[in-house]
Amino acid sequence: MLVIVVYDVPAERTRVYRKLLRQKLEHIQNSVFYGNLTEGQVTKLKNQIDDQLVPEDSVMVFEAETQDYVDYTVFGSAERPGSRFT
Amino acid sequence: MTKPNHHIFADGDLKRNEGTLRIDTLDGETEYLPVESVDTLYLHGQITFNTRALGLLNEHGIPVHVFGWKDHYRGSYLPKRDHISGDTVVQQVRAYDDPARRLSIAEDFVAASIHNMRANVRYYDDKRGDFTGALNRLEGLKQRVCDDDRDSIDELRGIEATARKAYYRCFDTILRDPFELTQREYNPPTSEANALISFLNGMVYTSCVSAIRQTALDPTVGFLHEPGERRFTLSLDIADIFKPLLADRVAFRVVNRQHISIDDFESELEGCLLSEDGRLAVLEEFEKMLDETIEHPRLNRKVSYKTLVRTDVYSLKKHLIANEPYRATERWW
Repeated sequence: MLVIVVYDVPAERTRVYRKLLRQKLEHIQNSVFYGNLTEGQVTKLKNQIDDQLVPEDSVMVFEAETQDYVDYTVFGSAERPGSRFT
Repeated sequence: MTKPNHHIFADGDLKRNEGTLRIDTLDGETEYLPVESVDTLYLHGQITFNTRALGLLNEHGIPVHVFGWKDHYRGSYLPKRDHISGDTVVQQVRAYDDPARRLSIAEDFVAASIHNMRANVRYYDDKRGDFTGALNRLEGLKQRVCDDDRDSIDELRGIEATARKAYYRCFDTILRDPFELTQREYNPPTSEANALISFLNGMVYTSCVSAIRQTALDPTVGFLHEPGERRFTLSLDIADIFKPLLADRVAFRVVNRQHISIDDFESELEGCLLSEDGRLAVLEEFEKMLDETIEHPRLNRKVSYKTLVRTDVYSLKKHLIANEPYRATERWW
């Protein structure tokens, strides 16, 4: 399923989530991650986020069953997310 | 859903960083790859990497296929096996060593391969020309594979070669001009169409290497191809089934829809090869093809072409160890 994760956490804690999320998702903008995961991967990801959480952190996970349900427009210079080529 | 592949065309360093893969390109850009969401890594550029990066790829079971100059396949780094099963390998070799069983498996490969060639020709019959002759020819050859008794694998290879020749003769008509295919030639490919088909066949081959890696089967022991002949013979066997489904269909698509043109090729040293832009355009279409899904009658769900390669290999494995019928993938959709 399509997953978008955003977070808003104190500066010194960003690396905690950045490290966790970069292993599974594409880092498309500061504190915004995008990717396609299986249901199992999503469950594991949520548990891992929950394990890291302290009271001042805020993390949101958006999911859609398939990528087909979500359309997006990219403004500016960034590449479209989901590219398989570097 | 299977994970997507990732292709690196840039030149640069591939490193392990914060538990994931990081690419620093020579252009000064940095990109991170989600290591848990990559199926297979293809290195097309000049890339430096060390054992720490390989260790990480190993941990996540990601095979790496390396391409060298002008995207010639150079080899693969395969992670340490998750599935070690001496029993499976023993059964595989036993089947190879038993002439009747080997022949029967090889016949399944060839029958499926001819079936899939014919499906392609049938699709383009009337659309791009009249292929009645080739269709009948391929039908007859498939019947011969299924019906006749034979005691040599060479005869089977002969039928396969005849079928492939009849099949490739249709290409010139199917491919939109100015692409021409008068004769299938490789090492090096001599024309644009030959270069395109060789490149895509290489991609199908690596897809099969990745799929076989997920089972305990030994990729070097094939049934139709003679083991030790060259490369991973089991991958060559499986690739023959999927070349018409994946490589040839993508070749027809990119040419006929004009995603690539004659300008996307470079002639050098008596050979002809795809340029980097051309390879990118072809690979994009190939990746789309792997993602395409079809309804699977036995699994009762939609599967992608990529999964289809895996189910084929699993079916072979089950045949070898549990003697269930091997169902080589024949286009049913």
